[in-house]
Amino acid sequence: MTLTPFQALDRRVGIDGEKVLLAVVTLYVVVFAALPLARLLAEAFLPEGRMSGELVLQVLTSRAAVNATVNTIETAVWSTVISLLLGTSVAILVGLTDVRFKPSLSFLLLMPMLIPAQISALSWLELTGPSSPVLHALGIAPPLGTRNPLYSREGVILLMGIEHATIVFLSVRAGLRVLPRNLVEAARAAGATPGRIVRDIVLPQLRPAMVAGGALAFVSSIGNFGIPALLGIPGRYTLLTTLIYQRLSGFGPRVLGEVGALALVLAALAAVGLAVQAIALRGHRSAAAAGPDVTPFRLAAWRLPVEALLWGLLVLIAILPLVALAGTSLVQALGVPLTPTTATFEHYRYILTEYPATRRAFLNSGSLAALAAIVIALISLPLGHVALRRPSALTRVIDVIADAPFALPGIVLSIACIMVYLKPLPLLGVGLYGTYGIILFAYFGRFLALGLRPTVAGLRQIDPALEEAASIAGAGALRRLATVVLPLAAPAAMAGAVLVFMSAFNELTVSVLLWSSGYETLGVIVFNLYDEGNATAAAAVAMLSVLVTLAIAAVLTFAVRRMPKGVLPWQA
Amino acid sequence: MAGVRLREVTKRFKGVAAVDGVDLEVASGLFVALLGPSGCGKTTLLRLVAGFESPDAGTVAIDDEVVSTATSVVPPERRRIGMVFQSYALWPHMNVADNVGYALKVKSVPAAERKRRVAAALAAVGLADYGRRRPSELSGGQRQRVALARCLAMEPRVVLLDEPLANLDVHLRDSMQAEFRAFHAATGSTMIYVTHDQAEAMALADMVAVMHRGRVEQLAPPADLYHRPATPMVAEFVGRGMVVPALVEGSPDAGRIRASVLGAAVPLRCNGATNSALACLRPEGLELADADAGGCIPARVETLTFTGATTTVHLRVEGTGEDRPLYLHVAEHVPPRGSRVGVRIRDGWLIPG
Ligand SMILES: Nc1ncnc2c1ncn2[C@@H]1O[C@H](COP(=O)(O)OP(=O)(O)OP(=O)(O)O)[C@@H](O)[C@H]1O
Ligand SMILES: [Mg+2]
Repeated sequence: MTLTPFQALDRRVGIDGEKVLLAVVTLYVVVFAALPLARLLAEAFLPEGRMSGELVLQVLTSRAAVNATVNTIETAVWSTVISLLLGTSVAILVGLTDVRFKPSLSFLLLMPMLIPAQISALSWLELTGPSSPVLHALGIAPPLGTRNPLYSREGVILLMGIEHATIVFLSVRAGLRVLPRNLVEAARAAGATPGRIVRDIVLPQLRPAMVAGGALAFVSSIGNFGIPALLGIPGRYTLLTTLIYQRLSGFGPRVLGEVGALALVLAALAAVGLAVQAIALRGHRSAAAAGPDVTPFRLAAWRLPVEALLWGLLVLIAILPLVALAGTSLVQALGVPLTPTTATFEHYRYILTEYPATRRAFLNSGSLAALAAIVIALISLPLGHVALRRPSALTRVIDVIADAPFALPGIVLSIACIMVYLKPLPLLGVGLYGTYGIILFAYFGRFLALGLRPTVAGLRQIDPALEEAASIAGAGALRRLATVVLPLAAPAAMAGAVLVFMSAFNELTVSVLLWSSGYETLGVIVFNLYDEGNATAAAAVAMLSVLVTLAIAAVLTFAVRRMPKGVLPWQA
Repeated sequence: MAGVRLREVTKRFKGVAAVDGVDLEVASGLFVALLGPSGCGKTTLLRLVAGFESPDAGTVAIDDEVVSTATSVVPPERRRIGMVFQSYALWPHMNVADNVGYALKVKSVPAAERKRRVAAALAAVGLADYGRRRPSELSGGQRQRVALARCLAMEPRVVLLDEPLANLDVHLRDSMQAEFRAFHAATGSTMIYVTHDQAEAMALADMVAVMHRGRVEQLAPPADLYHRPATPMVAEFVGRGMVVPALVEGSPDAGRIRASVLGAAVPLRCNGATNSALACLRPEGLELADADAGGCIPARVETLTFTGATTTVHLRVEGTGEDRPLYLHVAEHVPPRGSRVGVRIRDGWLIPG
């Protein structure tokens, strides 16, 4: 009798496929998540580390660091306030009233999830600047040479607030979904007006969702690089992320100890936000069984004005900046009015044929993102499966560590990766610093959580009895994974892979510290072109990458109809 | 054929025992039903036998081979058992034939033989022409038949079934029950069948194990369970028996013992134990008499429930402080509500435990 590959494997590993799976996923998480973060901590707290006490103290008490820290906190707090106001009010209006076209409104608010921060920032600059094609069309553009008002503290705060309103919106919408309908109905029966009900019943019930969403928005602001880089650097408003970037790109790895200390401050601030989020969500996870939705309040005569307001707001924050970006990519030169006759594809031609770094960047980002997506999808299945079906102290630790590189600011991970890979690897003798490999490894850690979540959502929906039935039929752990779990969870893992691809494809925060000549990413190219003053070329590259992202999102949205619910963050 | 033996098996979830020191021996080839109220530990017990749960104490043996102890557990895939799930657990991405043939494929059975055995199993459950269908294209009853065929094709030593009919409507249940009986007759395999439907348990099983709070209260053939319940819980749970205080007066003689029940002297059936103080009465062991007839228990008619052929009369016993009502069925001469009647005990059982 011939052995099937599974039997052969079972024999070789001595029956216990489950141990093999656990070992593989543990190894992955240790190498790509635990190792860099542990190294960062070790450099700070072990005596021979780069950041031994004195240096850290010196760095952290320097004026630049104190300023950047204060600015970072200030930005995060105020932008979180904006996110909370915007995200909560749109979620309540869409969730509790009878405004029309709800899916379109939700989608508009969720656009920032698809557009990376540096491209949003670029679009807003093109919208509000003196050469704005939109303002020109309206005839209200300020004279050329006027300073863009967004190059300022307020600009950074405003854009971050808008950017992260999505996070609050998603959290509050999830909270509304599990709001017991009878609470609202009881208040109605008691004669309360809709306004009162929202104030007295709905908002108190939504508080955990708002706190959790706000905390996440805060964490995202702390770690955001694209917006302070494009708006803050010209505006001389420096945050911790941009300070780290400026130091490291100015002085190279010899300031690794110094930027490591700054990264720890960044991580600590983010940890505060994450802790608040965890506390807010404690005990609220189980309320997942959603009942029927609350019957919407009728706005009656107010409906049209409210709809107009919502559309105006969302078009302003989601559509107009992209229109401006598109316009800028088509003008002959900055300041030249855009008309059908003056529009030109010259900048597209330039970046695609004359500026070799762009083509390289498309290849680099495309292949990095594809590799990260595939590898993460492949590891997510066993990882999610082991954590879900064989929970143990070990899997819970793995779960937390797997989340950390995505939850913490990307720049923290980048610095940790530089620390690990600066010197040639022991045994192998090759160094990864300054290569494609270091970016890839950083992505393997950074986007793991992003791919893992949809996969776990898909795995959760598989009846455990299906796997037990395979057990009964004599199938060992590896065979069960391959023949039962994999086919059933594949759509969700695919969705996770596409999310990883979209994020990695456009990513800037991690690669801005890790790229080197020849290994540029798309995010880096957009940033560098703009930094060099070539705004039109930057806009053209940004437009291309936005189009790629939106095309993928559209395909995914249609494909997802056949998939289990809850795998796509921007969907119901 | 295999027997299943559990010795002192305990399983705790977060410190609470779901299965509590269970001793159970299922002889080879027997069809045993596990019966009990919701949450009493039936599923947990079944999963302990299957190997999905590991015991905190005790041992599980199949065919005299110990498969579970507190420290080591043979995984389900190496136990050669079959299991039929309440949710059917058919793999939605495989067609019916692939579902049925999966275990054979795992065992590397050659394709030709596999095909033959799959066809035979499907034919046995009357689904010979359904091999190419997807599970989603089948009705609930058909799905459960496929699950049964899947089990059949594996030729397991022991078959475990966890409320396999709970998701089917009443009419289908009858025909599926016949299917299970045929399966048992054809394979002669040991079967453990979890249900909380006593009619189903009684109709199907050779022996019924009644569970309560993680323990097996009684393991007995269905008729014994009804006529000779071992504990008050079994007496009340099976057939809604009436448990009343009994005062033993004398010693057992030819399976009978004299006792005073609710003030009336009655010979109760017994199994020799005399230190008991409770009797189990059944409605068919009671009859109505005049209020002042001798040897009767005085009672008042509380409510009447018309059920068709008979009327159920609920009675409140008077003058004994006994507040559990008695009930019996009468076909004619239904006494009016509120009237005083006498109750004569024609048959009762002295509960030994
Ligand atoms: N995995 C688990 N974790 C924690 N508690 C459990 C688990 N499985 C079962 N229990 C508890 O053990 C007890 C017995 O559960 P079990 O499922 O065996 O009952 P059951 O007799 O099958 O009930 P039902 O008729 O409702 O199916 C219950 O109190 C249940 O809540
Ligand atoms: Mg059960």
